[in-house]
Amino acid sequence: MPEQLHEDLGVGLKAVIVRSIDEASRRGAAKVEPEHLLLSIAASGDVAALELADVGLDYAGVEAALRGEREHALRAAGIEPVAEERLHATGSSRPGWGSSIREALKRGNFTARRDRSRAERERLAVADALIGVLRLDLGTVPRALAYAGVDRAALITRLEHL
Amino acid sequence: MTPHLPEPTGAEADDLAAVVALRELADRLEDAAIERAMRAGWSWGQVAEALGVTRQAVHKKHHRRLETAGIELRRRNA
Repeated sequence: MPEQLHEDLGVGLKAVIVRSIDEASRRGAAKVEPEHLLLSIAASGDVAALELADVGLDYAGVEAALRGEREHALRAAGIEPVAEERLHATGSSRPGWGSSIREALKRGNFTARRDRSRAERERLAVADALIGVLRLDLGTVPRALAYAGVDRAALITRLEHL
Repeated sequence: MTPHLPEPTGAEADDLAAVVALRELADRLEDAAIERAMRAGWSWGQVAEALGVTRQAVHKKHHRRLETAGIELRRRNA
């Protein structure tokens, strides 16, 4: 688990992080990346997931946004998307942590709620991790959200005010 | 030069994202193609020859994953 999470941040966030490893593995990714954390958060049922769903980013919405980004990126190189069935493979059972997910967690909102109770901080831990993902300015997630027409800054503000 | 925040979907970002997407595509295609070949009875040596890499390299990278997949790996001429 990335070093940013060495503190005990509650079972909710831990479950979300563990699921992000499954998301990466299932997609044949060698590394767990912020998009896997985003998918995991969207599927969590957490208050953060409700905020995501509110802007059209339920689990299917996140999947569609990520697919759209990949298609854009491949077209930039003149490549048409390859059919999913040709890419089907048994995933790596132990994907490593990518550098971007470490950066996302570093940008999380964990220390901003110091004045809240421990229970409150734990309740909002997933939302605070999501803020970190949304604070990434470059790369797959901000691209996917831009193409999906999601206002990242507005979403961050909403999450900060939880 | 004034520091500025580049757009995540600008022209430069598109080229860089294409690199990420192509790497991911190549990795996934490699996993899928090797798995398909091994299921069809190819040996490690044959897969390595087709990829233009050493048998050791391909074995080290894919051995555990394919064992997990339950593929009966060809030992002879491997």
